[in-house]
Amino acid sequence: MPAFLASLVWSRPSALWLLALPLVLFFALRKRDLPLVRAIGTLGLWRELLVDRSVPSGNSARRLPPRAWWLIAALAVGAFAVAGPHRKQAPTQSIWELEVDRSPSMFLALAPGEAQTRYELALEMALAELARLRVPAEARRWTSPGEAAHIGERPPDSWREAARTPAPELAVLTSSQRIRISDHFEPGQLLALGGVASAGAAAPGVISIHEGREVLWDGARLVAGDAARARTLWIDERVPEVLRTLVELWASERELFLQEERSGADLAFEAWIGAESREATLSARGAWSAVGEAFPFDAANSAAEVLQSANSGEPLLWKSSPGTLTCAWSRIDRLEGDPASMALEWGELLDRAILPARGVVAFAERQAVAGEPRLEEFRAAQSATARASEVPPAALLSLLSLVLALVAFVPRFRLRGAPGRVAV
Amino acid sequence: MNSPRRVLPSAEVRFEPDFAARLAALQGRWAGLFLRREGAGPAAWRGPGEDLVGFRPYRPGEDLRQLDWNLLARLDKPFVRVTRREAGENWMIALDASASMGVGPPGKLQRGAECAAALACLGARQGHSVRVLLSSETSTPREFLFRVRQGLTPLFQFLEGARAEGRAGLQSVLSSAPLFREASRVFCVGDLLDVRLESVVALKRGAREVSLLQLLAPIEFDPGLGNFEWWDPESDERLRLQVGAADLSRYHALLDQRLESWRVSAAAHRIPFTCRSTVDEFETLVSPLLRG
Repeated sequence: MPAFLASLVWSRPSALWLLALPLVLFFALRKRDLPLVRAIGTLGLWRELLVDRSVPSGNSARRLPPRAWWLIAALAVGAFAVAGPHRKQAPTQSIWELEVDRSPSMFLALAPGEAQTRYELALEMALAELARLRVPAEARRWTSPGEAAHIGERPPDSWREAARTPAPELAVLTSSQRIRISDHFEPGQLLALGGVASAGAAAPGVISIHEGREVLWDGARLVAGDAARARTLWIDERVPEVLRTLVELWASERELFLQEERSGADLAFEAWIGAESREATLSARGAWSAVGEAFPFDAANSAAEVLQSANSGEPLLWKSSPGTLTCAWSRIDRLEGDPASMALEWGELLDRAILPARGVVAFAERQAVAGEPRLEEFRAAQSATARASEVPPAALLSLLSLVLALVAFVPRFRLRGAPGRVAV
Repeated sequence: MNSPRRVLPSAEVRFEPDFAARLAALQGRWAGLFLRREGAGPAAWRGPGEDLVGFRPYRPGEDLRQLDWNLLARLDKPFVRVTRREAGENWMIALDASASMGVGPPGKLQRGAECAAALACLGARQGHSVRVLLSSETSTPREFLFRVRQGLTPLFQFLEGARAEGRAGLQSVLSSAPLFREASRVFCVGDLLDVRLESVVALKRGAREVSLLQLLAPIEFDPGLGNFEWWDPESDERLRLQVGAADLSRYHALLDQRLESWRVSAAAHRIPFTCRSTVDEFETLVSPLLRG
């Protein structure tokens, strides 16, 4: 019980002053019930009456009638109810997950010639709603694919540009207190999720760059032309020669530029040097295999972005994340099997890892998002709050107060023939 | 825990400025009535030393002892003597000044003092020697001899010096038998709550007449309904009661029974008895005493 009381907070603490009402009533009733002191010369007659009835006098007359106590209790409970007690939410419950869509379309202008982007409008609406719900800064956990979570009033300024990562999976999210900030919602996506959608007009532009050519959507049709720029690749010198050659061939085929600096590269192909190397064999479904020495990734380093196309159970020898491909091989001694199959698989792997070219927005994303900016009810958060305390204490207290008041005011039934209270 | 000390609501006596005028008016009314009294009148007015005022025709049923036989013999018509009390009677007015007389308002002591003053004035007007006795906590009651030539002031001062206190009530006065040795007429004024009838009967010896005026405060006649703490100022006893309608009815019945008992007992001894509320003015209260 003390823990329960300690966890209570009051929506309107000033209403606790209403507790003075039952106190005032108590003292008023007590005062009213105090006997009138009267001097009388015929006290002996009263004593004789009492003796006849064998009913002792006493302080019973000073006791408040039960219904007065009921009424006082009703007022006291009612005062607590008005004060609005509610349980303090645990910190885990109070964190709001704010999932920011940073796909390229979010950074398109809301309308041709307009400076504000879909991202800015959606974020502005979300911030306003969070302010209305009085969500403190420390309870706002901003997330975006490929970025570390950020807790604060608003997302980092660095998020003001499109993530050069593939668009996040638009899975149906059922976690409570999660808000998706995007330019549109997929049907059924917001089953238990709050959301802000900015919508936005169509934004013509480059939709693809491939092999030195680019495809531009002018709003009505697709136009092909020479690419204004090509994507870049950086290769770690420690990558085994065989793989290096393979990647260079792939880059040449994709018309990528090799650059000396890693920063800014659309794809970094890096080597992983661990603590201890060992002999390793990578066998790809029997079509090809490689034998050599590697620094296998340890379990702790096996993050979610690790793509394992090798047989399960074997040590992880490479992993991929948007813009980066990491190779655990320090040396490849021998390649066996079908080399074409190996080149094809590595090519697909590299294609998935390389970031899209800057300024390139998929055709689907450049399409207009119909409708007005909308803000879905933050049902998830509200239902989560509701679940945190199934029945609000204030409602319980109100009900209790009502019951007590009814008990106080409902006339009592008296059995026929039962003696009434005559005196004392 | 002891209850706080209570203060009696009407413990003192104060005569209003117009009281003397009211007394004078009352005296005027009663002087005529005394003179007009015919014959023996009620038994209370009979006794030794009556002054003859005149004669009137006999009415059937009248006491034959008042018949003037000489006139009957001379005129052959029955006449009775019309008398008045002769001067020189000794009146004693005993006033209860115990604490219970402070109950009110109107206070019993206040009204009792007014009645005592009225009786004293009326008695003195008739030429009687009037003494007023006040019950007192001391061994003997306080006594005041009223002389007309001194005026009313000393009488008023004596009565205003009375204060309702102590437990010594009218019974203590009646117990002082020597005080009444010379009295031909005694008026007992008080609440009579401590008076035993035997004491009164013992006082009524020979031709001495005794009249009783019982004064009760309105709250004693009708305490009302509610939550009360009754306080007996004499014994300082307290009784806390929630008085309901049934209780009040029983109280009334018991009080009526007591008053009726007094009435019957007093009548049996030919003692005029009157019980009135202090709501009544003193003019009303003394009338039954004087009429007998």
